[in-house]
Amino acid sequence: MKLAKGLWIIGIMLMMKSCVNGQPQEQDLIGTWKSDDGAKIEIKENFTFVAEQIAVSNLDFTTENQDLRVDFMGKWEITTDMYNKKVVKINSNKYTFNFYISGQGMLGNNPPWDLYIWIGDPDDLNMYRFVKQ
Amino acid sequence: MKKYILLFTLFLSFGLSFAQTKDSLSVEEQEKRKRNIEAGNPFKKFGYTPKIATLSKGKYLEWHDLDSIVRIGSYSFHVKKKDITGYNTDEDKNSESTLRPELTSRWLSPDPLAEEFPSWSPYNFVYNNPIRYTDPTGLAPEDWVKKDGKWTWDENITSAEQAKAAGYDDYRAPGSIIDNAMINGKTGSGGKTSVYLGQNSNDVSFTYPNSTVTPFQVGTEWLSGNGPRNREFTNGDFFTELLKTHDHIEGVRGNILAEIANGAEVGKTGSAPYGLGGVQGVGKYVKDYSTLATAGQTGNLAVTYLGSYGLTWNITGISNGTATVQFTATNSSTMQSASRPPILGYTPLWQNTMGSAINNYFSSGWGSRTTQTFNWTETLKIN
Repeated sequence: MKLAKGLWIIGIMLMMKSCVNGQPQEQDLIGTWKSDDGAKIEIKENFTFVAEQIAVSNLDFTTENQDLRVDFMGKWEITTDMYNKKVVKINSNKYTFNFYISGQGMLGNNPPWDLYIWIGDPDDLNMYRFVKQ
Repeated sequence: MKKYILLFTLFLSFGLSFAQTKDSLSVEEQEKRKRNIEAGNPFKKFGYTPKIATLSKGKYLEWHDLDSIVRIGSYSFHVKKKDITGYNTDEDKNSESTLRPELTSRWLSPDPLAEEFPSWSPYNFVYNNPIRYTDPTGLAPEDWVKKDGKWTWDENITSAEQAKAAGYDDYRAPGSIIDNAMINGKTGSGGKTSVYLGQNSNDVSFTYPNSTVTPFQVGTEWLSGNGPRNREFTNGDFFTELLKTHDHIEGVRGNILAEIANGAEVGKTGSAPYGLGGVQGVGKYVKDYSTLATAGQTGNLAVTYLGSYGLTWNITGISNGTATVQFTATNSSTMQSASRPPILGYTPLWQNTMGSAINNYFSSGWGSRTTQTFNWTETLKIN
């Protein structure tokens, strides 16, 4: 009985650990990130970035040209969104959005990390995912 | 003796008869008889001349009744045997469209759907424009197009430009909703004052207009599989106005104003989806679905149905201490999204196993995917 109780406690602790695990640091983000569609974002140490060939339709639902790709640059920072979720904020003169962070494992919270934004409704689980090179 | 005399007479008669026939025919008469016989040769165009039966040996042009075999459309039909005797590759049933004058046909009756097209002759075919249109069903041109106040389906038209060029008054893509419309002269009941023009000519039904439809009614459409599978809402629609009161939208407004305070200008675009994944999603779940327990006193009924939704915004104007912002929210309703558990349901593991299996099972019919898009404009006061 005590053994079963102990296993439950260990399980819950591991679960909680897995939930709070996986908080990438700024240094983990420095580098070049690429997506499957050829888009690229270079995140620099000085908190600036250069984005190339980004699909606008994933950032702006109103765009008429679904094939439009754009280059832009600006600043980035690790911050939290309205719900205290850790995100990488990307901000340029034209576009601003939050990169969500996912990792490996069943709950996706272990390094190496991926950066993604949702394409359309998050319920569809369609991600515009960038993988560090 | 009499017997020999009779035989002699007979031979003489035949001989004289034969000699007279052969000798009395002029060259012209012989050519004429030859032509008359050849006229009965059905294989002449193939260069083959079989033995041709003739009663007058070509003296007269003999005509054989072939009406027992008649041509109906592409088929040869034997009217006495009641059987199809052949198939003709020449598509002569629509000879007006083939532009081949050697093929003739005629209308057997006025168009039975003539009342549907009062401005057109009941004997016209594809609006007298066979190059532009086809009519595979033989009933009516097919895609939702409007002429003289009536909507019909025309599969050859896929854009408003095409419809306009073809002389139609209006165009709607499959899946559209027409407000204040009738079906066969009848109006809908119970608030269903609009007509849904679906994916084919038979997919037509009364439905709620976008302006008044509630999240519950949209949910019923999704669950039942009946009615529109996509709705596009705008300013003033009940559903839109409800969504605008969501805490998330209010938070985004604050973020936009902060952006403007930090120098954002007209044209700036942002993405701010509302998601229910992760540990943070649990609290949102509880709040969003609390409407069901409190009869709408808490939470937001729009979001109770939508769950998560995509959201982008665009600053379209800044002047006199106000900013004009265009918001666009998108939502899809699937059985996977409706049935997924918190946290685990938003992981790749769930999506690639249970989630995809559920969506595949509900790929059509009741519970199949529906989508909603909300476009609205707001004027935000800059502090």
